[in-house]
Amino acid sequence: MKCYRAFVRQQLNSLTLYRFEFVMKVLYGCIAMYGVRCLWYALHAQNPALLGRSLPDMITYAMMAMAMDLVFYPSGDNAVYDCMNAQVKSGSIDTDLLRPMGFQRQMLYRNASRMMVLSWVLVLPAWLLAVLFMGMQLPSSLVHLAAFFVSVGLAYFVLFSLSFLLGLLGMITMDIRHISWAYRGLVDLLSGKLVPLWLFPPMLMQCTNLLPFRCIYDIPLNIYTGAFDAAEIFRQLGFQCMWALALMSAGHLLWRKVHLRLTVQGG
Amino acid sequence: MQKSFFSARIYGHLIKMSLRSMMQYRADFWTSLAGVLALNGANIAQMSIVSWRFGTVGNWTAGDLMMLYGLYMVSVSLYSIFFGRIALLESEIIHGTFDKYLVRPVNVFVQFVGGEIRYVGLSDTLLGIGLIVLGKAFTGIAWGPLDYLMLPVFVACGGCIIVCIRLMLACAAFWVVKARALQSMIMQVMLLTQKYPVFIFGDVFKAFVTGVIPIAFMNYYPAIYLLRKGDAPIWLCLLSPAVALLFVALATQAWKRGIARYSSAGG
Repeated sequence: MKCYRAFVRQQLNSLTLYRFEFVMKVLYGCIAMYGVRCLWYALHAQNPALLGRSLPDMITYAMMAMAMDLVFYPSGDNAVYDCMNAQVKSGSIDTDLLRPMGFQRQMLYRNASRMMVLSWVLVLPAWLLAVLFMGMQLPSSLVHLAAFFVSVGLAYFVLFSLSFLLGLLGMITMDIRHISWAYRGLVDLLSGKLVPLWLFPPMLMQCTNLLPFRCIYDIPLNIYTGAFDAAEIFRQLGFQCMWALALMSAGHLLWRKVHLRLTVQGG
Repeated sequence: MQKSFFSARIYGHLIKMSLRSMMQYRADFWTSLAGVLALNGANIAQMSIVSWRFGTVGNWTAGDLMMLYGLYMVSVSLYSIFFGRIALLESEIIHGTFDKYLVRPVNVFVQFVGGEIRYVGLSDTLLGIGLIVLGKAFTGIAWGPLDYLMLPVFVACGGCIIVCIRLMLACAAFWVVKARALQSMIMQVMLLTQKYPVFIFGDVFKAFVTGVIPIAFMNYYPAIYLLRKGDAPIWLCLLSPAVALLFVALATQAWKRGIARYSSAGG
């Protein structure tokens, strides 16, 4: 925990250097939230019955997805696989391997601390603006709020693990730029970020229900909007736990294999 | 005049060099095509699901949306292929590597953008053309010779507009150094207009993307003209070339003033 706090402090220092960027990023999030709000308003006006939820629930789901996207979308230093790939190419990974801490844990701490800081400075202001000016609802109860935070934590573990696995693949193939584009497209669509999964054709929805991607947006957002009762919340959190554990373990095992054949390009 | 010919010849040489190096990595081109297809596939799937579920967005059918997105993709691909290096201006200024363009006796802009052709953009071109063809087939609109003539004009003007907007945004780095977030914010506005008709985002937004940052002239107004939608007067749809010319003049000024103001950051 002491290590993690040090990582958080380091991220906070580096992130607060450029305040102009933060204001712009919050605005960026607000524009995205405004966009999805308009889209679902327009679709609701056409035929309210087809939404499958009330309009306030629908726009809350969509806007919250955009707020979460501010930290979950893999770009720049947020993308674990890009960091790993860059470390191998520049040779700086050798310093990480010398530290008395597992590589997966180092990456997790580094990325999680960044996510934590970004959540405070980006998601929180964007969420507040959306609640005050764009009609985003608050969570339906304190239980839902608490469950939402747990679910977002688990969503992060799933997202991190998928990115870490992709990063390991990059250590084998040496370039994952194009694979990562496909990965981003897959996550955007199958996680329920762009379109809620309940609007998918039934066959596609059945498939997405089995995959880990829905752990990232669909489950936390359905909890936030109060679509699940207490029993269903436990079931869905269990589903997230299962995937988080499975993917973290897969990352751990694969890293041990990749470590043995790791070739550092730079240095 | 002689100076312009010289710059054009240098640009031609740089493009040839870039093409030669590109041909060394053919497999990379095919993987990039697959990656771009998957990334854009998420957007196309989103539009398809929304169209399947709701029938139309506003009065725009799935075919109309394909045309809209296709026009955007082809226009943007002109930027991606030939002017992608504009996105690197900020980092070149920060690291002081921009200095090298200033000491050579060749046009600074030609040197800066001419060093690279990004074949990834070709994937956008192919996908965009595919979507335009599909959109036309789905809507069943019969085009006359004038429509076929206007299509490349709209695409060229759209490409011109996006290049100029991105150049002006990148030029902000000459003043504030860290300007990437400003670019991201405008890109977010573009993400909204790329796949949905502008009018669903309200009158203020429509006025903004028509009169302030005229990205609606990249695909929305051309699509209205080509699809006979009647959502805007014909004269407005045909303003694309005038808007493109205006933005070339503005971007040229921004670039010249930026260069005049540039002071090396070291490196």
